[in-house]
Amino acid sequence: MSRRALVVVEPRSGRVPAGQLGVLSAAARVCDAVEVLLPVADGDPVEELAGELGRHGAGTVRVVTGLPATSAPRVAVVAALHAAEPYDLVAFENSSLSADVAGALAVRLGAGVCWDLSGLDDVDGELVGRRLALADSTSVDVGWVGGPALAIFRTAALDTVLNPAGDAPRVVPVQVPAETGPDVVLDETPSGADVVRSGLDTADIVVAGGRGLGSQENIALLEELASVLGGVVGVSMPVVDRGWYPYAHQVGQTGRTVRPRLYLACGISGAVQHRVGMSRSGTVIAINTDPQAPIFDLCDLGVIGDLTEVVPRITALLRERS
Amino acid sequence: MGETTTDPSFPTLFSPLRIRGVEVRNRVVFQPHFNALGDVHGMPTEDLTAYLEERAWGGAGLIVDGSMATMPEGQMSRKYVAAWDPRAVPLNRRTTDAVHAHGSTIFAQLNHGGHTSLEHPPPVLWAPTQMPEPSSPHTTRAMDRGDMVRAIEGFAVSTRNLVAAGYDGVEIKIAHDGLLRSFASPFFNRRTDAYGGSFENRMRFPLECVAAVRENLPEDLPLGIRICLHEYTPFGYELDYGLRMAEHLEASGLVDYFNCDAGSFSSFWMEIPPAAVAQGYFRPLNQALKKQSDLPIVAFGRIKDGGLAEHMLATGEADLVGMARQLIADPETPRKLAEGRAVEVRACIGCNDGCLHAVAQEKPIRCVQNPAAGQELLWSERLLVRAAEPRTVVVIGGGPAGLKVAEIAARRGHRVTLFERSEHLGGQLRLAARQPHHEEVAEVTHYLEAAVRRLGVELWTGVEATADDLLELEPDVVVVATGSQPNLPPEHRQSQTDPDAGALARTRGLQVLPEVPGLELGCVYSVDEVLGGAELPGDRVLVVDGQGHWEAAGTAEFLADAGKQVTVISSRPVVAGELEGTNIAMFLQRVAAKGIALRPLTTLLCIEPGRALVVDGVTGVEQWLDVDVVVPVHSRRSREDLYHRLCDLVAESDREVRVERIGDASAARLIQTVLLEAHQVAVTV
Amino acid sequence: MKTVVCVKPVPMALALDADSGRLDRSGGSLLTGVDESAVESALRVRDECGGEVVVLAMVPEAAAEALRPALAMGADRAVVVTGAALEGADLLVTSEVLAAAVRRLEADLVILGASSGDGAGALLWSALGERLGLPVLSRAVEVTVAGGRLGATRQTETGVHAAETSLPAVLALSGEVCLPRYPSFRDVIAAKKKTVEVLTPESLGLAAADLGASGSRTRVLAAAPAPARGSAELVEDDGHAHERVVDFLVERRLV
Repeated sequence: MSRRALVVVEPRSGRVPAGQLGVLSAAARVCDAVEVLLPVADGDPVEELAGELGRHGAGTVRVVTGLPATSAPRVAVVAALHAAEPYDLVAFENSSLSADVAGALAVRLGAGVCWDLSGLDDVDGELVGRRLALADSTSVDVGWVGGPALAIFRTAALDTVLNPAGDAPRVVPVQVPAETGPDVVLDETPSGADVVRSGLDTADIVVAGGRGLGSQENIALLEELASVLGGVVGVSMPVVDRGWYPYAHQVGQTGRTVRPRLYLACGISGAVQHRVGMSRSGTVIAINTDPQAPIFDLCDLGVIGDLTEVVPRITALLRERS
Repeated sequence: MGETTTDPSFPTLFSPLRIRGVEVRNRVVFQPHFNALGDVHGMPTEDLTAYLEERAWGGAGLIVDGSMATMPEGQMSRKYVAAWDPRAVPLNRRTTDAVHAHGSTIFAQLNHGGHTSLEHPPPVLWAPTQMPEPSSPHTTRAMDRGDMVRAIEGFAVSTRNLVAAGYDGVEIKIAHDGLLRSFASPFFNRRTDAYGGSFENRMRFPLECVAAVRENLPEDLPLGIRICLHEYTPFGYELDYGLRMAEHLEASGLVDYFNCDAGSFSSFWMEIPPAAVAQGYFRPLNQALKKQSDLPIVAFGRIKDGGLAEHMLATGEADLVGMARQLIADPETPRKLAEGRAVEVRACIGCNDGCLHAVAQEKPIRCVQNPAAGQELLWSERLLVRAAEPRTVVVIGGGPAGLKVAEIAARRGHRVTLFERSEHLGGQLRLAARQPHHEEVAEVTHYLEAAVRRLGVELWTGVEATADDLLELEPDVVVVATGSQPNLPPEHRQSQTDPDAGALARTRGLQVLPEVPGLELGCVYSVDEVLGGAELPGDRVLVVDGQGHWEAAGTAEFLADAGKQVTVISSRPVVAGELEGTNIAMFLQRVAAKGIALRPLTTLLCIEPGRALVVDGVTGVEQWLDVDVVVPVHSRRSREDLYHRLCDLVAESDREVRVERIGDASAARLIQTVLLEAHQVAVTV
Repeated sequence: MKTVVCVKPVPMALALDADSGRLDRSGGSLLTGVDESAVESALRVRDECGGEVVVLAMVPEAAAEALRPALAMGADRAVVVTGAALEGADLLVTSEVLAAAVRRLEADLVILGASSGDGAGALLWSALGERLGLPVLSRAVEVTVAGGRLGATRQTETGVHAAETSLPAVLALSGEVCLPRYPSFRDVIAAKKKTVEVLTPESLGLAAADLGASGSRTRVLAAAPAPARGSAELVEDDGHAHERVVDFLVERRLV
């Protein structure tokens, strides 16, 4: 059967990020006709971008110029394209913007949306999304009822598949519908304000410290690493009891239960009261001086060492590599 | 536990094990210990039966009942069960039947007390060579051959009685106290006859006793040895010798398992180590014996975490895991672990205040964490019944007293709402846990907080209840558990953060302020301020121990650890004199290491900026001490004004509201009595 | 100015039944920190502009009590939409039900807390905005309401930006953006006397047949435990352990 896909990309600094090319590659693997919606700004190298998209499977690149970085016009454009010739799949890489677009599209098109996907397959002629749910503890296969299938893929979850000999795609300009509904006005200039971390409950990455911190001052080491990883600081009960960090950051039986994708336990022995608060995390990395610490029984990578030495070196290396 | 599912996290812990002809259903052993639940004639009481039955109900695989005495001369306390006495047989049968009914196995431990006793004054003490145990002033009688024959006969008779009483096995104590270790010990045994001189000779008498037990045990019943592997004294034997003893005993072919042990009366803090000894400290001892022996090994040493227990078994460190205090604190530990309820386990805090402190004085065993310990017939959680009519219970204060009353009332089906004025639950325990080596005291709050959340108690933290509005909640019962505050003058800085909650009580003559001049000064810091992290104006600190427990002693250590120069005075003959023995022994060891100066028999007279006047209790000589900070630790005053206002309001109204005050709000005390009081109030709601 | 805060209470830890000693899964629910933060934001809008704050949740009736702390904090009303037909509701159903309730409540501003990356929560606010035909301002860390306009500081992958839109509007917060206030004892007493209003899909004019799993446009085909955590890789820090940590993060696509 013939299956049509639309992949919505968002170039940054004149390039399409690798994760989005990965989504395109995944769509191309299970669809016969793949289109890309490419919003560009004046001065973006459209030819070059289209060529890159073509080498990753795009047959048609629909270019829209001067779109503000808001969801309403994107929803309108995709809905109009779908109305003209329906898609079986509309795919995005996860971002604040694509989530806003997909949520609205789901309602407007009466379509199902599956999110946080890390794979997409054709099983007996049906599209099947692969997702790791509940902090990666459960592998879920999801499907769509009716179309189009709206799919949001986990950031950077997919490998790009390059076909150097791919045909140059057809490049077609798209007109933005005159009326796109109520929208917000964005000030595109970054405010320079400090980033506010999301709460522990919802954090994808938690950098946690325990008694092994030794002193209140060393919490700064966790904060720096959390900042580099885009995570949130969590602490075990003894740290809160000593008054080193606010209760709102306590992970464990008498604090918060978290299930981030990455839990970095620094100087936490892993008493049961703490474990119940974090045992359902995805990947767990533990750093502790005591090789007998129970935390080493439930981690994926354990470092036997002093957190005050190891953590700053991790932070520095991550900064260096980014 | 037959119908319950088994948590896959503990595959080894909940697998059965065969010891000789007896199958034990899981690997959790309730270790033998003196519980002083025998009566003054050495007969097991109904309390003793209930005490052991509770642990069987809670899921222990093996219960070792003991120690029991083999003859009158070796009875370390009149409350040691008299195994030699036929009158104990039917009473012990009551215990074995009760334990068997829950599917547990029960052994009995036999001990001849030898050179050690808890009696004051002790009866004649038997030993291989005449000398006092170094920690005791009382000397011994060197045994002759006739004494030995009688002692061996004591083991034989006792064994026959135990078999008749239905025990599944017998354990012999060659451990931290008693006669048999003193025979094995090169220090205590200086004999030159066939029972001393060489290693084999020193082991001869213990082996004769072991053989007597074996001869009187049916073929399929196992015989075990509780063996002290390391005496931890400057003069005693160490691990290599302990292992040699075990090797020799094993070679006799008479032994079916070993139960590990360490310490002696001269190092009693290693027998029953308090919280200051790290969990898992004794694992190398278990590991060493396991490595050399082909017999099942019971591990020992402050093991309280199910994960650690499983790890020790899975990695081949031991075949069974001994727990005494953990199962005193929470008899249901094995059941909870097996049912996947590990987070509900109430952990032992290693305080020794309820268990060891009581039994060392020959008083029935108690437990801080478990108000029912030793009095199961009165307060077991199994006796809780759902209230016929659910009541609206309002609890004011989220410290240990308030939390406990909320827990038990909620378990009985009442609608419970709890208000705590601070952001956190736990009350003073949160501060206490900051003292060095006291982190585990926070387990009390941990357990209670998790329990009340699980039970659906409506919790309001950061909300200060007031008497005027309280009756609008239409409560049936109000429990005031507002705690206490340092008894400092209202002019003291404390009132800015911790408003005086005893002013009304004082106008009624129900409270008084302490009469030491200068307590209002800025250089005076309360324990709450110190542990709360207050910045102190100077390094020379005088701690006044008017209370004798950890409040002063632990704060002194906290300050010394922060680099302060600390002096502790007490009007009494000993600083920290209310502490339990193992705790004070280890405290005094640390005092020396931390450079804390102790001045007992010294009383504070007055405080001036930069100095404090004290008087020597013996000579009456007064002396000014140059100090920057004074931390007075005397009785705290109850935060009781809310209670009195509420009682007035209830009296004025026509409502039927029962108002109770518990915990420090009624009188500042140690948590053990507070938690029992809270339990008792909750069962009457 | 009427603000409706959509919250999603989560089940509390499992409870023990006092009689049987067995696990009782019928225990209550709690507001999360992000939801409390959303309520606080709404109260601040009311402090500034006057008006009313209504807390709204689509939950089983047993979880209605979880809204009471929001009442104690100062919310004027608490409303739950509940019904057997709502079990297993997906994004389309949830947004439809909430939109109907918001319309009934005649909100000028709808505030949602951020929700877990695991759930469809990050899609809900835009779906709700679409249903209501309102502009959506998402990922807000600071909020201002003035002159019929909603302003916010947004935080996204591309940085921190200012944004604004006209009211009425849907606002979604980025995490715990402010500390919730503690209620006074009087507030608690007042909150305990209030009733949590209960709506049903039927009372909102929604057909039961379209709701719940029967109306869902996605389906779970299979679910299996992901490969269990293997035994841990242990490294001793010899001065280079950080390199292994960073490589490991890269291998697992966590950086």
